[in-house]
Amino acid sequence: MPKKPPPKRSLPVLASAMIQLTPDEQPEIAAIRKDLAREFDERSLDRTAPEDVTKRLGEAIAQLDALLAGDASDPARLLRTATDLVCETTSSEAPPAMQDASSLAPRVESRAPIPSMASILAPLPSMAPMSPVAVSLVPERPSRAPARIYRRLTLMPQDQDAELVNEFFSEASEHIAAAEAALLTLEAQPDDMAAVNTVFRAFHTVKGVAAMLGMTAVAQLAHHAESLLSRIRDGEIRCTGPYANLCLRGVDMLKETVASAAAMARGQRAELPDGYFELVDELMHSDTLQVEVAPPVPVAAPLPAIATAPAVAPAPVVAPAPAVAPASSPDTAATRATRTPKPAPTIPKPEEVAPAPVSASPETQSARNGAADASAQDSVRVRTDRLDRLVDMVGELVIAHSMVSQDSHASAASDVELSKKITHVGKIVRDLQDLSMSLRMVPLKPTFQKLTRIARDVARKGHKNLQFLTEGEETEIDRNMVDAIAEPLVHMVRNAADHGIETPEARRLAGKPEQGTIRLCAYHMGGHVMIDLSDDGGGLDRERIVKKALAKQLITSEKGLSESEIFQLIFVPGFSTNEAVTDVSGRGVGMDVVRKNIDRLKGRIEISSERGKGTLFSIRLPLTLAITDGMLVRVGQERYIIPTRDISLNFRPEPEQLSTAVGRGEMVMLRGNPLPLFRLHELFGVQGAVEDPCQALVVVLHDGASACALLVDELLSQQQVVAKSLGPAVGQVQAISGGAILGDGRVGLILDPSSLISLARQRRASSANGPRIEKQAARMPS
Amino acid sequence: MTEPANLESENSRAAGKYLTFVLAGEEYGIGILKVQEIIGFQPITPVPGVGAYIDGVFNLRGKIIPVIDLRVKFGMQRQERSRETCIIVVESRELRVGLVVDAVSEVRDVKSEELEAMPNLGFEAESDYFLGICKANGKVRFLLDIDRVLATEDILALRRL
Repeated sequence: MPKKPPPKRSLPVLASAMIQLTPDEQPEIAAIRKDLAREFDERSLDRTAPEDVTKRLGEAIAQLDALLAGDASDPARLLRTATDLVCETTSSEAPPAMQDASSLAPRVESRAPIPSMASILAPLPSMAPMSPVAVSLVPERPSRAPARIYRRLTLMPQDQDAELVNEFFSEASEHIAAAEAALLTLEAQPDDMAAVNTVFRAFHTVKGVAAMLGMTAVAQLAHHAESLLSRIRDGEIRCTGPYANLCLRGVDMLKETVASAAAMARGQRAELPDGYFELVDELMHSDTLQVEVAPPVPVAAPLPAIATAPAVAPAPVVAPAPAVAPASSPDTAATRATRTPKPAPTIPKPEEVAPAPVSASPETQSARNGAADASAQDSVRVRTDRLDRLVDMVGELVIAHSMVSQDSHASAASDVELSKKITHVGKIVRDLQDLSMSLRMVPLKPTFQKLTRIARDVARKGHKNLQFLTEGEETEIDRNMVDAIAEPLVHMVRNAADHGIETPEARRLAGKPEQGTIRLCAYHMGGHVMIDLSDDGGGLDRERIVKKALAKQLITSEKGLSESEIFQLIFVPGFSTNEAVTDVSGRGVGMDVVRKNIDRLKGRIEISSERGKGTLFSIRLPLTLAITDGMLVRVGQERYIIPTRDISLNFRPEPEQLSTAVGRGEMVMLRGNPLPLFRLHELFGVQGAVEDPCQALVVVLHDGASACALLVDELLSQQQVVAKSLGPAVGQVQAISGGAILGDGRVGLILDPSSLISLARQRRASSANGPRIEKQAARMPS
Repeated sequence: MTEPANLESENSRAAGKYLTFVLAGEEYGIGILKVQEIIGFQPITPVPGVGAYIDGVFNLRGKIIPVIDLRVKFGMQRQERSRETCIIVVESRELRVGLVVDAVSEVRDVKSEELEAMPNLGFEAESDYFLGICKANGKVRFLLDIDRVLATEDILALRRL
């Protein structure tokens, strides 16, 4: 609450303010009393105002007066009674729900002011109509809410500020992700109050902002989920079993609803997700779930209000109240004084009360949360295109600087001062380059959290007992890659949980612990990001892979294939079928998609597996897609960049290593293995290249399982280049993945080895009946 | 031409400032608003496997820009680069492209009375490229509709890739 209360607060605002009050806050209570009195006076004069509201207001004011007089034996009770009365007025005035339509006061809607930013964190006036307060205060009402209460829900109002809305969407998704992660933590440690607070805060913030933006559908759902969470937070229920599931489903539904709203904001047609009403209903009536009795937890600080808890109010009343989680963070403290811990104004039924661990360590918790919030506040959202532009410009700066430093005037030894200055600038430029690259790095944590969730769901569905361990989730990777890597990982984790880990019975029979383990681990190694996914499941069945590959004619014989080459076969398109082939590629959802995704990220994937012991998938990714480690090669007058990761080795062949098959197919023997030899200058129609392989250089490229040799004139250097697209006018060119600005300011083309190899094979196949390779073919449009 | 009023409005629409340049001795013009900049000839990296009129790509302050040889695009003989050779960077429908021309001449204010419609020369596709002819000081200049030049099927196909 702002220090200076706004000149006039509407009833819902007052109600929410009161809910957060404690009896000792006399000045605030006095202020509220004044506002209530004014409201009361207005209504007394207004004949159209519903009488019962006015009456309740009067009673509430009387209660507050008694409280303010200071001689009450039980101030908390007085305050609560007053609060309840005011709450009742808001719920009876509000259009929906439990009251008869005749008692609706339509003007109230317009009275509810748009909340100021400062009050977003407090329960919003527009939320009040949705609060289940009326339900709890009128116990004789049927507990199932009629569906019509939802009729006024708005998914996405028309006339909202697009920027505000977009900010909300990105903020909401962050909160949802955090909530999801925290809920998973809670499953393992149901008493982790920091996690409860995280979830609570997520729902709460989403609710507040959504309500402010008029997205009542989102707000309503978040509100009811928050109610459930507040019960968990108050120790009334524990976040286990059905409650944990309900919470997770709440998060899921929130995610979907927000997504629907986002779709609508983009101008697409969108509706409330399926099951929305059912879930809201379930959340509202979560107290009918089988109640699990919380084990006694030592009470660090007894909650003073327990003793005075009236039985009239079931828990959900608490829901709209705690705008501020007990472990309050500084930013919420800005809007109102932090009170930690604070008794809930309305208290759960005594028989349901489990001593709440909320107060276990409020100091450390708020300190921790405070730190987290502080770091969040220190960051600025920047549009990625600006970031990309910045990286581009810095790249240009590096080139421009190297042009200056290599200038003959500058490098002349005569001017020591100048070269000193240039070196100094060079240092700054390099720092700047490092910095600009790091700007795009984000931790893998959100991705890992998503995977944790998936593993859990798959395990639950498949009745597997497994633990999912993650390590190194703080490892950073280029922002542009995060989404792209999530997809294959999801696939692999699902496979590992579904097919990799055996059923508990099978595991017991195999003499392994019933609980399977999937370990996801990320770390940096030599300028790469490594992501290892290992499981202790059944492992890959080598024999069956070979059999399958033979049947599918992917290989002609098993001979000469190493173990890892055989495992790589599962990535070959068309390998997986609907028949459960191996433990990992069972469902026919191809592992080739995984490989394709990783290839696109310029990464590599290796498998090692031992039958009965488990499987390890090792993914190696570059830190960023923007920079490619490349080998600069020259062919004639042209220079090309070959990504280093695709090169196995290079050598200058001896005449006896060369041979041709049927006069056309050139081959080079490498350690007894024949490799097809393709001449880059022929493929690209470059003039003036070295024709004699023995005077040139052979670069051995590996493309997954197969390898080939590429003839170039010479290697110039190894360098890191900033990969750029050739632009829409040129589009995608076969065998070229993009361009890069070289040190002299010219554009060098980056080769795409796998498409280069297929281009070469195509050429060879099409020229099988004619002369070897037509040079003109190289300039034909692809 | 049967309706002079129509022609009139057509002409006044085509009137305005044009950047004129030379291709094989003929003079052409591009609407000045389409032109982003003119730069001397740059080293161009050829891209294999694309249309022959795409000369390649070059580095324009960190951006990779494709270059189209207008001579080749119009079916003329390719010419050796000289000191006069220029690249005119144009933007057409968010596509930034460099055009190789023999030489840049001037920026000319084309008045509507100097404009004439392009006669039908018999080759259909190319006639589409022209907004009209500007006749002044005894010289003929062909005014190009650069959007159309760059929107022909082959380039559109490249875009879709």
